[in-house]
Amino acid sequence: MGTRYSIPPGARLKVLGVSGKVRVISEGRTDIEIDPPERRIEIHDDGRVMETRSRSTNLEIRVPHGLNVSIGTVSGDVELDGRFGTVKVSSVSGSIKIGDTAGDADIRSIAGQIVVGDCGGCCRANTKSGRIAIEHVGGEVLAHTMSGSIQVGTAGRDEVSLKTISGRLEVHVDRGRAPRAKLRTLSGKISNALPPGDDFELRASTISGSIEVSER
Amino acid sequence: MTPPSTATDVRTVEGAIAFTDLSGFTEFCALRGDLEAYTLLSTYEGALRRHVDSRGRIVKALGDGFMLWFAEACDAVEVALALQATFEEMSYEDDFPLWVRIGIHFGRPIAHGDDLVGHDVNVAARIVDLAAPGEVLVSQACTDVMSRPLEGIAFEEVGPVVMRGLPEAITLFRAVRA
Repeated sequence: MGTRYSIPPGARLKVLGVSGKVRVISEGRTDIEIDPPERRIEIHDDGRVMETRSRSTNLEIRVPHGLNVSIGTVSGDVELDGRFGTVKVSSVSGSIKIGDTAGDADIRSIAGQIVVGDCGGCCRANTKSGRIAIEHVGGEVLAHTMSGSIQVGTAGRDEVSLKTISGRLEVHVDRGRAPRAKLRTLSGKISNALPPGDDFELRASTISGSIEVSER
Repeated sequence: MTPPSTATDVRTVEGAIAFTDLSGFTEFCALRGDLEAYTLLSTYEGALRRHVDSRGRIVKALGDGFMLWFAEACDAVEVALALQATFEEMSYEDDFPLWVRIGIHFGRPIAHGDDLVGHDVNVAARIVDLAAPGEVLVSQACTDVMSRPLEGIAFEEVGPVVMRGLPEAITLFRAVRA
């Protein structure tokens, strides 16, 4: 059983960690519960930010569905299960796994993989060495990795921009959408199963990987 | 490094420190050969010098990256965004992967000859690691000291960032054309 905190209206949760795992679970509740219970949550910025810090212990935090969350950590994995509002996560070397977001998601790691579920807003994902897998994005997608593959599902309503140095790029577009596609690879194969159109801009570039565009 | 004889010999300079990093240069070299890679690097450096020279200075080259210094935070951000626009245009027109990441921090490093050293230099170097190709990331220390409004430029909060070896989290912003 963790310690429970009520949430000021409009507040977002901010978690700063070093090496422990951070797990945030959204569920049908109106308050926030943090475990281990001795870990404190402080209110900052006139109630707009609920902040907690952890050095090496694992954190499990239970929050209401739709809460905005931002997390910065060095080497611990970050996992967000459930449905959130906007999500911002950065990690130096941990892997990052995000459930669904109603709003924008900005996820970045230096050396870790990034996995995102259904993102209703704009999704930015950036890692130096690790794969990126994003199930479906309603808005703009900007995903970059140095050495790793990128898989993205898109509604095909807004710009999609993908770059990788040495991995494979896969884009799966909702049925009936036709992109203005600019696909570049210096040494790989390009396969585009979609007809050319004007529904959205699709830019995919890789130096030594292949590119595949298909319908979902 | 020759140590200064007294603490008063240490000269610090206040300003914005920027790092640039050309992504994928090693792979480009391996695929296209040294000559094309040299052309890519020359194009990158040429654009950098054109944009930086009148408003800041190139402190040093670091393989496929550069360390830059600007007395004004505003100049650093404006130059960085102008550089990214140039690199984007060149990438598509010339089929060059000029994928450059830029990170900017403001502080007071120690001047060691033409070089700069210190904590603020280390922070700037860490920021560029989190930037995506084509992106300009700016620390809050930099956005807090803008001496004038930047027309047509907005800052979008990236979120809190905890960096290895740095005791406090810092907040980063993405500089974008509004």
